[in-house]
Amino acid sequence: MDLNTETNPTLPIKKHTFKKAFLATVPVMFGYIPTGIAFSMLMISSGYSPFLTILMSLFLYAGSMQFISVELFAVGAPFIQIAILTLLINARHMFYGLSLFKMFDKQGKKKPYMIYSLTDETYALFTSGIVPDDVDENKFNFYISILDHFYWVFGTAIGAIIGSSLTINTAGMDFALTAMFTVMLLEQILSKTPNLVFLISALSGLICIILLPKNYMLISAILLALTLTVVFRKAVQKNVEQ
Amino acid sequence: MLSNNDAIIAIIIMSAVTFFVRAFPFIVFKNKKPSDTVIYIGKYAPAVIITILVLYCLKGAFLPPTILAIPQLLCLAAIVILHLKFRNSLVSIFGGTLLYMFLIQVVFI
Repeated sequence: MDLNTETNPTLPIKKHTFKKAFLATVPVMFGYIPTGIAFSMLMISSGYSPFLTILMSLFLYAGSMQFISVELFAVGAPFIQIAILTLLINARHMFYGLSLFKMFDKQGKKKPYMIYSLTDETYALFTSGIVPDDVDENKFNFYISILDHFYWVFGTAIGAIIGSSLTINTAGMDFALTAMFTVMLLEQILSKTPNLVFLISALSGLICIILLPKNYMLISAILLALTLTVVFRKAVQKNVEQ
Repeated sequence: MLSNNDAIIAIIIMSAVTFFVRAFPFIVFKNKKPSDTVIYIGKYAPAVIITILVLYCLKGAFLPPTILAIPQLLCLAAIVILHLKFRNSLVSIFGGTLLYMFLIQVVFI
């Protein structure tokens, strides 16, 4: 993803890096803030305090899990069931680190936070090769993590504090996340990634999304697609050379 | 319904599990070099995961097909065209999102 923003040599490098990181995360902002508002209105309407709601976004920071937990809390689900469901629903994140060893090793003390805040959207930004040439790469990536986290908590706070009196029609704004993933996919397709990988992923995705219940479709699709990518390794590598 | 205190315990449990899951590959490969296969998976995982996330995002409108499938298809087409023409991510993402907001708030109500 290239951001084609003008470089301004008079800006101090730190400020300049922050500005570029902010621009890269704007689509996430447009997705996270309305989604955060929706989450907190749901949480508050089921009887929890704004404080607890904001705390949840700050500490848990896992969008789909938070929506599911509203239901789990409402029915008074046992802790063990909550723990197992969290594991299953977020299991896809186990694969995210595999592409980020080098990037995160350079983060030093910030590495635990970078791991902690690794959501789907942040991962997608990290792996789309969007770091501009003229910025401090480590700071740029750290700002992305912290900004995305901030948007989520901020959206939750807006929803918790003024949710019911909001009059702006944000309907459709969260399509920004679909749009962002679509653009990242286009960039991946335009890069050297072999077409076979997309074919395997699309088929695995379709099969699992059509056949499996909502809570298991993502992890199953990713597992199936990665397994097939390994099984067809020779063909994939041959596909690269063409 | 979980009491406030139970909800706090549940949030701590969920946060710990989520952090563990995100940290898992870093824990496993802390002191050992990732194998050839793991490096290979890491190389193609982004393409795999992003493809699946796009399909997952579209699931709501297409499975089963709802009226939203039409504006979403139009916007996806707009995003592809914008992106191939300008190759500027912000233009493509915002063009697509604004068009979508317009379509669902004004046209496909």
